[in-house]
Amino acid sequence: VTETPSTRTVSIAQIVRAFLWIAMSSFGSSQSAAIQREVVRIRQWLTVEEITTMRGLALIAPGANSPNLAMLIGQRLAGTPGAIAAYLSASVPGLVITLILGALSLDPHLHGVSAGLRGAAAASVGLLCSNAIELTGAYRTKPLVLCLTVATLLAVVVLHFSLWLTLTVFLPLSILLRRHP
Amino acid sequence: LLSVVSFGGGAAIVPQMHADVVERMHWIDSAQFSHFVALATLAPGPLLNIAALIGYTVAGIPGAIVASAALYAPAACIMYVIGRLWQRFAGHPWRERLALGLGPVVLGLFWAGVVAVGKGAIDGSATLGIAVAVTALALFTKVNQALLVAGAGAVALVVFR
Repeated sequence: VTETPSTRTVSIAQIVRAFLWIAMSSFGSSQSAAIQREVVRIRQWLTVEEITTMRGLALIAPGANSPNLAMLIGQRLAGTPGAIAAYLSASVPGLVITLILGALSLDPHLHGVSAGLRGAAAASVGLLCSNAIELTGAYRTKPLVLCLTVATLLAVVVLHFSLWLTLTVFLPLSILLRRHP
Repeated sequence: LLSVVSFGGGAAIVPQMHADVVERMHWIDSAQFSHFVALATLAPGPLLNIAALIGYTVAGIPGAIVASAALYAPAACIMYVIGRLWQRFAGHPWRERLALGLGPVVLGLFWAGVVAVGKGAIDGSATLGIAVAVTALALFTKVNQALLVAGAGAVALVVFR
């Protein structure tokens, strides 16, 4: 894992700002995708390799993936204060907005709301897709890796492997395959 | 309300939560639960936030705070420890190997995520168009993602009127 030059220049305020925006505007699984785009592409705090590993760790650990990911990034960039700041800014805004909507007892079946939501959901697919393309690009010169990725994809989509089954089968295989990079 | 702690984590949490809160504890009924799931999907942040809504219904604002803390805190602590361990072992050969091995598997899971979310969200040429446009904008520009999502919502409002 290569160290990025910006490691020591990221302040807590910058971390909070980056994650607050993402937390207020992303839905479900696209939140991790949005975080990756922000810290890798836009702010260039981390490399694609680093974020891939972190997303793997966040996926394996219990709890919601995106605050987990935010914590790992905060920890890596600014130690324990960074971890706490990142975790809170990635989780609190969504909670507050959810509660406000709940208190207003807004009807999610309203036509305008559901139309806007369909657009936002399509945008999530776009964000996820751009992420996956970016990560695939990092492996474009490694056919073996790409084969393993396709095998994992097929196992999940066609054979409906659970997360744990996927990890049990493919992670050891992948570690063996990549022992001599 | 402390039994919320027993929920644990993970993505398959919703059916478990339904069983506990609706069938076992009778805190809310099934219709309310579906309403909360829809709301939590609509609001930003993870689906996990339905716990806050349930806590709010059962015991007001303190209930919401307790439910969210109970659901977020254990996972946060575990993640923190994993993160610390991960940094402590920086440079160790097994860490590098695990990191290398994790890459292709995680990437396969991401593509599976694209397929899974795409199946639900893309139901015609309009939503497909939005998804393709957002993919391109996200890859080739540095437009703020909040603007991308809001823009997509606005386009959908016009198209699906």
